[in-house]
Amino acid sequence: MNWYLQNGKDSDVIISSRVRLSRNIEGIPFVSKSKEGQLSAINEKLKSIVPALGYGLKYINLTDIDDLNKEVLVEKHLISPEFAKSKNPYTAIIINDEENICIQVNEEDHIKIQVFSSGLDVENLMNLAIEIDQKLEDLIPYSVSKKYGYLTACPTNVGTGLKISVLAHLPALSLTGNIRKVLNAVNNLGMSIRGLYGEGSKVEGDIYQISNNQTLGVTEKEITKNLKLISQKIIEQERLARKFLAKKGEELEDKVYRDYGVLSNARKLSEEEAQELLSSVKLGTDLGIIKELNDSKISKLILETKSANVQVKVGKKLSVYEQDIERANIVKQIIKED
Amino acid sequence: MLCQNCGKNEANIRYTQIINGIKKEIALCSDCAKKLGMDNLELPFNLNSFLGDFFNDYAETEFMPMLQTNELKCKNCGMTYDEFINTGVFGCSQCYDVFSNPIDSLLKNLHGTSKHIGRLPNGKAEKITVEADSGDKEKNKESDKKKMLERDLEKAIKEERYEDAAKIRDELKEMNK
Repeated sequence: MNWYLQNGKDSDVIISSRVRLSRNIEGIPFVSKSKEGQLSAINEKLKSIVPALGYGLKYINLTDIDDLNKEVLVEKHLISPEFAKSKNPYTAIIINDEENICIQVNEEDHIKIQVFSSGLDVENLMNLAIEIDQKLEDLIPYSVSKKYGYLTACPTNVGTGLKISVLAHLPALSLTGNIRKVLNAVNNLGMSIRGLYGEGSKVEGDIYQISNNQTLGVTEKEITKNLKLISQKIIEQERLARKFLAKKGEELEDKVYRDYGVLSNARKLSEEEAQELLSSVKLGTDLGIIKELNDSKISKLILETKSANVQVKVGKKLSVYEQDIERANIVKQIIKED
Repeated sequence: MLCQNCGKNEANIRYTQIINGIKKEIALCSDCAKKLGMDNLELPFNLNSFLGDFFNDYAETEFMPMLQTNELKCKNCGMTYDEFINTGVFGCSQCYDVFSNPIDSLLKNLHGTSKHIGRLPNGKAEKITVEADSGDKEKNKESDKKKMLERDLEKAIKEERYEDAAKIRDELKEMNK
């Protein structure tokens, strides 16, 4: 089963974890300054070493994926939105069937190793990423300097080239009005936290991304430890807030069941509305109030109600209006499944 | 100079903005100028990338001769300091050395330090070559190594690590034999 449909550790609060290593190849300019021949040489080289990596990895040129399916990869957080829109014909992904490993080729940097899991699992992910990195470094000479470490196109990634991020679902902290405090505290600890969807003060679906800022002058182990500790603190705070909400039982039960009612009965659902309702319904399910759903159904609902996923499921491009109708149908189907 | 917006065409329009005595200049090609509505030179605007802008503002508050910085150019990929400020990304690994002066303090600001302490690869891998220059592969490799050692030597002396410097010097001697 694909990682994003599985239950992970602490997945009542942490939806997923990701570890990313940015690497460049020695002697070749970074992607923005590479010539066509160099980009295609990188593409060919990586293609040729995929069998040696193992993990059931496959090499897919992005040009062989249609726009809608690229968008699906973005919605699964497997590739960046910029990468999906890239006009460079030598972009590729190296991915396995479980989709827990997805290496981006010729994005901003030549190689971006990415590994994913559901729940909070940063240590295992870090080890897996380093294992892949070690296999690659035996086959490809990396661009490094003793002083600056792994050299990356953007100086915000230089050094370890390591960015760890987790997606946290924090509805109770928002409902109780404590989210600001948490955001400030995390930012003060040198991590960045931001709403995953929506802009400004409105964070749709109450999903936040937490990631490390510092990549230079810090070890991989320290970054992993910091991110894990901060995630655990956030989990603790969110669970406290949930307990507080649960004290006013009827209020909360009324809210989550109303939202479940709309979600399961609506004939038309916009992407934003579905996200809002699912946030509330996930909270209700995690607290054991809503018994009709389970974790994997919720994960499925969250993913398959996204715009490109809806269209791929139906098998054609749809207008926004048509998408809203199909989205409501998909929700009903998933709820009915055994 | 290349256009600071698209980075592709030669710039032929230079736009100067002065607000409260702070002067900012940007060079554009005529296509980009038209696209951005800049051919009539009226609107105030900000084209710089957020990161680049941060770097520029940061650099200006340092005691740094800006003229000299602006003239810096990476011989390997052609990246200029202006271009870096505009895009916020480097062009190749050598940019880190070329711009090491201005970026050291910027890296300290970003990361709290400018010295890597994490993992490094063990260097078993073979060099990847693009067909065109595969002919004198071996030669390149050796001169690359020499260049790297020379750079290391310079750094070691600068940082007063004389023991390291002596080791590197011996290694270089060995290579020149």
